[in-house]
Amino acid sequence: MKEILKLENISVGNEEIKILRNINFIVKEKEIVSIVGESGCGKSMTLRTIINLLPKNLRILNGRIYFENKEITDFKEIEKIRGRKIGMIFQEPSSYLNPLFTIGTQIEEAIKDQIDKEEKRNKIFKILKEMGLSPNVYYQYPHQLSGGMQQRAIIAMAIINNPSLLLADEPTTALDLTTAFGILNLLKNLVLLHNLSIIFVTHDISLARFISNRIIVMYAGMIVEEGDANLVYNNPLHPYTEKLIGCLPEKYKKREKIKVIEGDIPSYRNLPEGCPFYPRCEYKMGICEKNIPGKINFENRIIRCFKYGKIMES
Amino acid sequence: MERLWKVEELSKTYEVKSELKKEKIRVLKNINLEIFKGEIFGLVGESGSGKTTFGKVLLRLIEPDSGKIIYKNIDITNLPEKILRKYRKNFQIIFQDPYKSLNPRLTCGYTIMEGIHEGSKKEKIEKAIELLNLVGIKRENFYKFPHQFSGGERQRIAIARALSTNPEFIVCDEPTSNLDVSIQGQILNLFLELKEKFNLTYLFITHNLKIVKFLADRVGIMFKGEIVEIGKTEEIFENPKHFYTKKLLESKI
Amino acid sequence: MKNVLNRLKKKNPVSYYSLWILILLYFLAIFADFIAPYLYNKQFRDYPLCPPVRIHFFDYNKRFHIRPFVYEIKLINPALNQYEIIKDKTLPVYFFIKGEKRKILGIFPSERYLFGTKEGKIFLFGTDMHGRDIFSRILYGARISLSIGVIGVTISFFLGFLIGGISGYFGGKIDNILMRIAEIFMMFPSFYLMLALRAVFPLNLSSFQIYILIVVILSLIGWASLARIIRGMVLSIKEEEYILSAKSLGLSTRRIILKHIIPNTFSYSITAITLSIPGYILGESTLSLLGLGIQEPYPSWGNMLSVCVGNLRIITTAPWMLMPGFFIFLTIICFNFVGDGLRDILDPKNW
Repeated sequence: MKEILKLENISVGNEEIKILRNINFIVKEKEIVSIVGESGCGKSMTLRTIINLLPKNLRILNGRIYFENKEITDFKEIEKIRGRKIGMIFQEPSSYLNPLFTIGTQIEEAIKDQIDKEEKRNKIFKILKEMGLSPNVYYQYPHQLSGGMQQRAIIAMAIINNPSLLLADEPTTALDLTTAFGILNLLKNLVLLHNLSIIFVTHDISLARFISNRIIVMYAGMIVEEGDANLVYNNPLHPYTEKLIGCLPEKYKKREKIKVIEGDIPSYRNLPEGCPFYPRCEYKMGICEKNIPGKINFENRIIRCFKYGKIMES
Repeated sequence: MERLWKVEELSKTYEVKSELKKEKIRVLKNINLEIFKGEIFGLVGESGSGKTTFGKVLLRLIEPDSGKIIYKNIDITNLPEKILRKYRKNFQIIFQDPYKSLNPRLTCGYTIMEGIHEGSKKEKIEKAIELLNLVGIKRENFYKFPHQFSGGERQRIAIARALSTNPEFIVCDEPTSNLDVSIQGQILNLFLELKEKFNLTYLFITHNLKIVKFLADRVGIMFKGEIVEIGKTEEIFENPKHFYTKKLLESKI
Repeated sequence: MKNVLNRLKKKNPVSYYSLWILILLYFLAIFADFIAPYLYNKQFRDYPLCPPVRIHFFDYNKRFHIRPFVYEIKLINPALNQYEIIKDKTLPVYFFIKGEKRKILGIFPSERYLFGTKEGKIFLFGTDMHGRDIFSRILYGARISLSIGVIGVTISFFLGFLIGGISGYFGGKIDNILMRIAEIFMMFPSFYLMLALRAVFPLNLSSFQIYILIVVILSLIGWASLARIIRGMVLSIKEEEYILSAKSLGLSTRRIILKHIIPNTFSYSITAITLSIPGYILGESTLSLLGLGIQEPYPSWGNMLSVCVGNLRIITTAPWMLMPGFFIFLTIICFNFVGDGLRDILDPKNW
C-alpha cells in the first residue's frame, strides 16, 4: 500500500533541549494511526512538526519528512500542502472558530480550489450533509452550535479540499461521551469514503484502540512501542505501555488498588542519560542506565527496550 | 444504613438573556434522591445534564429554586447562612479544575489551614502539615503557591483542604477529568484510602463510565436536568432500562 | 520588603528608579523647610524674574574652588528684565547655614538649613515676578501637589472598594441602587462637576479649608468609575471555585470578601491606583490654575503655573517659570512606571 507520510529519524529541539528524539514512523493509505502518551510526551509536537507549526524557539535538528513519497523537510512547499493535502483538527472546537463569521463563510474560506461562488456553496452544503449537520448550519454562528456540531464544522473545513492526511490533536477530549462517539464514527467513515489517513493524538489508550489500526506509544519525546492497536492494548510489551494500561480503572475489579507508576515524567531539561523510562521502570537492568535502546522488531511490534534485545541507538 | 441526604423535588432554573429574549433554562428538574452513609454514589451525565449544578446546590453553594434538601434529619433548605455554617464542616466539595479551585494568592499551607477553626496557630500548622502528608505532599511545600504545583498535586491540595474540617461527606465533581491517566489512578487510590480511613461518603460526579463502574455502589443517570435512572452499579450496567442509559452504555469506548 | 525591591529592580529597572525618584520628591516635600534656601513667600524686590543662578566650581580665571560658589547678579535693565553677572567676586555656597528662623515640619524650630549663601542669592530655578525663589516654592508646593494626590486617591479607592465590593457580592437591589448612584456621579463631566462643587463654597476660605475641599471634591469624582470596575471583577471572582470552597469551609462573608475576593482584584486595582494619582495632581493643578484652588501666597505647582497662562512671551523671556510643569510631568511619569512595576510584582506567579 502507498505510503502517505514517513518520518525518518526526526529530532526536534534547540541548542538547550530536545523535545523529540529519533521519531520514525510510516502512515499508509486509509490507515488510522494513534499517537498515545501523557501530557508533555511530545505527541502534539510531532503533529506540529509535520506541517511546520512549531513554536519559534524549536526547529527540526535532523531527520527527514516524506509526504506522498516526496521529501518536504525544508517546508518550502508547505503552503501548498497545509490545508490542502494535509488537514488538521484540534481539541477545543470553540477556540478554532471565529465567533464573528458564519460557519458557511468560514468553510468557504477554507476552500482552496478556484471555483465560482455557486459551486462553492454546493460543495459546502454537500459536506455539511456528510458531517451530519443540517443545511441551516451554513447560516449560523459558532456560538449557536453545540460542541459536537462545532467540531464537525471544523472537520468539514479540514477535509473540504480532499486531503490525503488528517492530523487530529485530541479532537474528542473536550466533548461528551455520546458526542465523541459520534465524531469518532464519523472519522472512521471518512477514512473509508475519502481515501483518507488519520494520525490521531490522544492520551486515552482505550480510545486509541477503538479508533485506530495502529498505536504508537510515546514517552519523553521518544517512540517506545508501536504495533497493531488491539495487540498493544491487550498485550503491551514496553514497561511503560504496560504501566499505562495498568492505570486504567477498567482493568481492575471493583475498588481494587490501582497500580500506579512511581516517580514523575522527566522534564526536558533533565532527561536521563539512557532510556528515558529507566528511573521508573520495574524491569530495569544495568544497561538501561546509560544507553538508549534502539529499534527492535519483535513479534510484529516495534519496540525500544533492552528487555527484548540489546540493540543500542545508533 | 444511616441516610445522610434526602433530596426532594429539587429544582433550579437559570434565566439567560439572549438575543432580546429571556430564556429559562431548567438546570435541575424535580430531582429526588437519597445518599446513604458509607456509600459512593456515582452521578453520571454529560455536559449540560446539570450534574455539576446538583453537587453545588446540594451543599447550598448555589441556592435551589424549589424542593427540599434534608441532611440527616434536618431540613437545611432554608436555614439562614449563619446556622448553616455550623453544619458546613460536615460536607465538603472538590472541584474539577485543579487550576481554578485554589486561590492563586494563598500558599497551599494557608489554603488548608483556613478550614481548621480550632487550636492555636502552631496546632493549626501542624494539622495542615499532617493533612498534606496524608495526601502525599511533602512538608517543604507548605509555603509554595498553587502555580508551582502540577495539576495532580493541586488536586491533592484541594483534597487536603476538603478534609481539613473533618467532614463525613464529600462531593467530588469530576476530580480526575482534567488529569492524565496515570495521575488519575493515583487520585482514585487516594480517594479509596481516605474513604477507608475516615469512613467517608462520596457523591462522585463524572461522565466517565469506567470510573463509575470501578468506584460506585449506586449510580444515578442524569439527562437534561432529570434523574432518569437510579440503581446499583452492576444492575445499571448489565440491565439498563432507560433509553438514555442504553445510549450511554453503547458509547462505551 | 527588601526582596520586593530587589525583584522590582531586576524585572523592571525603570519602575525601580522611578520609585526612588518619587521617594526623593516626597522627601524634598516633607523636609522643604530644611532644604529650601528661602521661605516661599520671601520677596526679593530687587530681583524680579531673575534667571537661574548657576553654581560654579571653576571661576572665570579657570581656578578650581573646592567650595562651590555663585556670582552676584544685578538687574541692569528693569524694563527688559536683563541681568548682569558680576564676575569679580566669588560668593561661596555654605552648607548647614544659619538663617531665618523656621520650623521643620511645623514643629521643630531650626535656624539652620541645608544650603545657601551669606552674600548674593542662590536662585537655582530663578525667581518669579515678585522676586520669590522658584526652587523654594517648588519644594513647598510639592507638599500640596503630592499629598493631594495620595490622600484623594486613598479616599476614592476606599469608597470604590467598599461600594463596588458590596454591590458585586450581594447583587440584587443593593447592587442596583448603588450602581445607579455611581452612574449619576459618572454622568457629570468631571471638569465641570469640579468647578461646580468648588463654586458652591465661598471663594475666600482659609487655605487649609480649601485644601480639604479640593481633596473631597476630587475623591467624590473619582470613586464612581472605580466602584463599577471593582463590582464587575467581584461579580466574576465570586463565581470562582476557590470562593465556593471558602464558603463551604464555613468562612464568614466578611472574611471571604476581604481575604479572598478583594486581593484578587489587586492585579487591576493597584495599577489603577498608581495610574490615577496623576489625575488628582492635575485636578488640583487645574483648580489652582483657574484660581479656585490654593491661593497666593501659598504655592502649589498648579498656581505657580497659573501666572504663565495667556502669557506666551514667558517661554522666551522667562522659561524657568515653567519649572513646576516639569515637576508635574516628572511626578506623573514616575507614577506611571511605578504602577507598571507594581502590577508585575503583585502577581503571585512571580513569587
